[in-house]
Amino acid sequence: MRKLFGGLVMAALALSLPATVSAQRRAAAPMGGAKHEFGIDVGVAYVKPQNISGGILIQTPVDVRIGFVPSRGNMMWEGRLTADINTVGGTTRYLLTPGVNVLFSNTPGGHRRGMFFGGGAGLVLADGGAGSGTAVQLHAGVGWRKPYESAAWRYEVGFQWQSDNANIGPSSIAIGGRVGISLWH
Amino acid sequence: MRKLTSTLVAAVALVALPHIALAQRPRAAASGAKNEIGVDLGAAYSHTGSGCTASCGAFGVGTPVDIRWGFMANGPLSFEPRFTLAYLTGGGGHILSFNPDLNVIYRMAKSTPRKGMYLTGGLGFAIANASASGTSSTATQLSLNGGVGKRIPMESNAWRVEGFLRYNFENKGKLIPSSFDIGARLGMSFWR
Repeated sequence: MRKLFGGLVMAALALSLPATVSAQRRAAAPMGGAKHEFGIDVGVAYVKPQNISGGILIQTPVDVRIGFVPSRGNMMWEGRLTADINTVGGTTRYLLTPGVNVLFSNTPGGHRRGMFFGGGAGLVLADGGAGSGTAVQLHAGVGWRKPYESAAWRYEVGFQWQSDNANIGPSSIAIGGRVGISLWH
Repeated sequence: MRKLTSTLVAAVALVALPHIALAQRPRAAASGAKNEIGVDLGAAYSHTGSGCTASCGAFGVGTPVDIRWGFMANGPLSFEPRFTLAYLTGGGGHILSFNPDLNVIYRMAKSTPRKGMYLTGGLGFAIANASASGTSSTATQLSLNGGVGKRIPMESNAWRVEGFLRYNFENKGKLIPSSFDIGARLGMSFWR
């Protein structure tokens, strides 16, 4: 009888083990094996062009950001893009701002929660109708991701420098932040 | 015997505990999603109507078009606000551009909230405000849009493609002509 009960207890424990392990896992993750982090933000910045008085800029959506989530390691690449091309009045005007960022996660939460440092570079390719030009952007900042159900809020503060170009404008600096939502797939 | 029974009860409790814990978790994003969030790449041909005599057509491509934040519903109808905002101040003046829009999405018979065809229609405003040297001016343009689209599942998300028509009403007081746009937007939808 004792052997029988002992066996039953062992069987019950064996049955419970996988479920216990499963229950102790972090909540789901439609993103468990997520490959990309997509996000949209509201940006607020103080912008100061050279020799021109500065001002506040608020904008949404700022850009489209697509992060490539690594399977391991604390470094992650992120591409950012805005594009606006139009032919109003028979003149083609465009503004393209492709950029690349590298993010270093600073917490055990990896690339889904916690603090990160980021820095990157981008180009501003523009033609306002009077001539085309290219400027360079450099930026750096620090941010946090805060899980929100299957997504995460993402806060980031930093600064940006943009080089001057005769057809785009004088060099400028911007100090500000962006708040947005990150979604994984 | 008592010891054995207690051990059995404890074992049963151990078995049950993880399942209880699992059951208490919020539903998975896919099944219990509350919002559809997306960004798109858009392209449109625009034609200016009233008051235009030459070069009335234009073509534009851009991304991100706007932020769309849909509210999921059990029935075939759901609401989807869309908006953009840009505000710049400096040198004693400012420029504000705010484009809110509310669309209704009606999903077709065999479609679900996450895949298949849908029809949409909506109402929007293009609000522009500028000030310089103490003078401020505001202009608002009303627009109506309609379209047909399709969600195509991709892993836990979906591609969404939509063809649309939009009519922008004339604002005579502010000398803004009427115009219409015909185009498409292609983007990705995420659920949360």
